[in-house]
Amino acid sequence: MTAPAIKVRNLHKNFGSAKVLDGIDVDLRPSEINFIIGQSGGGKSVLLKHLVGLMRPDSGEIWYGDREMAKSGEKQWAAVRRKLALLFQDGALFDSMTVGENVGFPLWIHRKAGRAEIEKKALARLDELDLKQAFNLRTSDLSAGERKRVALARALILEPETLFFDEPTTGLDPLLSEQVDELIKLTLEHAKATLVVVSHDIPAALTLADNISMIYGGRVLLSGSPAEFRRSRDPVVRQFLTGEAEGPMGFLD
Amino acid sequence: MPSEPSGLLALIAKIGAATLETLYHLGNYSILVFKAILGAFVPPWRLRGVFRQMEVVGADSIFVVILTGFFTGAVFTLQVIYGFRMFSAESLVGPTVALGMCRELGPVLTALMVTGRVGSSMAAELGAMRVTEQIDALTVMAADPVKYLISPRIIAGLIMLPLLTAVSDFTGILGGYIIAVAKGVDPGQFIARIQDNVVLSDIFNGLIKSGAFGVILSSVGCYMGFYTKGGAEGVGRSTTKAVVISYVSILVSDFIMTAIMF
Ligand SMILES: Nc1ncnc2c1ncn2[C@@H]1O[C@H](COP(=O)(O)OP(=O)(O)OP(=O)(O)O)[C@@H](O)[C@H]1O
Ligand SMILES: [Mg+2]
Repeated sequence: MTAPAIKVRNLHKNFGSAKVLDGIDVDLRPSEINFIIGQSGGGKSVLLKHLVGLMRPDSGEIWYGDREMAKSGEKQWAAVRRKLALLFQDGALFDSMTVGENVGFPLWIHRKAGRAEIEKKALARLDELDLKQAFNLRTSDLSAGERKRVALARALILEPETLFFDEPTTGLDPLLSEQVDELIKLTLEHAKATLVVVSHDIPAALTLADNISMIYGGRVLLSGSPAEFRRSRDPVVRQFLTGEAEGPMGFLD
Repeated sequence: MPSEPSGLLALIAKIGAATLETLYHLGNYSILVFKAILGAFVPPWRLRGVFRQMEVVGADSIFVVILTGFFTGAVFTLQVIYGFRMFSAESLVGPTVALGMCRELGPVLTALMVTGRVGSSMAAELGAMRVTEQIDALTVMAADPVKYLISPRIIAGLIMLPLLTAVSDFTGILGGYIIAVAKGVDPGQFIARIQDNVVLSDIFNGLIKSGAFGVILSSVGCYMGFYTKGGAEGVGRSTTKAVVISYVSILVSDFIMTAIMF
């Protein structure tokens, strides 16, 4: 087996007295779809923010290859961030810009190309996602599903090695969810990137993932393939997969 | 559980906590301003962003600056004429109004007006970007949000406030002139006495003060917006705080600078 692209070891994070991350260990595999699942409020987004350096842990390690990042400064993080992209739950599109400017922004800010070329590339990205006609629209004129696709186009434009998704399908209707799932698959085929998807969409995880890590009580309860999850006898895992209200986890959202 | 302190002790604890909080914000604010100024000097430069902000500052406030300047000069002249007539010192109305506008009223009133229009909207804009994770998005793209968002706004404040203040000085003296002439002051004397008594450093020091006010109102607006917490409601709170804190800082720093300069 190849070495993990990102390795998290014994990661701890408290907010006041709440232990949100209480010793997380995760391996994220290169060029695979890695799902991180867990209850609402279980710390998935917090973990994701640690993985991109938006939050710093109380203790623990985050390895990108052979670089330990948890104690690194902004300079080192900036270097790592040039090779990753994060799709925020609500898109985090810049609403002072048009759709096209949003998609081209990473190229512009890093001076990767001239104006004309940036526009061409942005248009091509949007076209791939069937959004060419939105190029000159303001972001406020987009639907939720379109926002997600624009955000994906923006995330893909620098061809990141690692792509993080925070709840890509939450809040979308079933048809759109399916489209987004399709996009995730397409992304992997096109970009050969390492994908990290945070979600509580169990069916999507079971069908799309190469491996799944389930967070429970601030730790990783189970890591494995979808098949291993289906076989698991752990009552918490069973309850989460079947979505029953009664069980060791208490009420699900 | 430790018992709550009561009476005097509670008061001291409260004052202590408030002091610590203020010191924390002062420190944090200084770091942000330092980074923003540093960001303005380190390449790559983004002049287009600066020009855009200058345009915003200028376009948003030029009209209200002209209005306040004009009427301040006018009403100030009314009062001065009333007072000076008692001592038959009407010939000094011109220089008094001009000095008042250039040294004090122009810079301060312009800064207060621009704070209301521009400082508040900087806080609201950055606050909205914070709560919708646009600032986090910039960070994850390895684009320094301080350099990209705050540096151009502070530079725009530094450059535009003196320009707007010069406009305010001019319209204020114009307003004063019109009132003075209407009240029977000799127009030639009004101008001539200004030329005799107002030196360039009067105007200059006022403009320097206004540059400092420009930095204050833009940096406070940006600081409040940048560290907004708590959703849309938080954006509203940041905006109000930005205005109040800028007002107080402008008036206090005006006193200090005036004491040093004149
Ligand atoms: N900046 C913060 N300050 C204090 N507490 C926080 C902060 N961020 C997150 N938390 C807390 O950490 C816990 C985990 O939050 P997180 O957003 O990671 O959950 P999640 O697993 O992503 O849930 P969801 O599936 O609903 O998005 C929550 O109880 C939340 O209140
Ligand atoms: Mg979340």
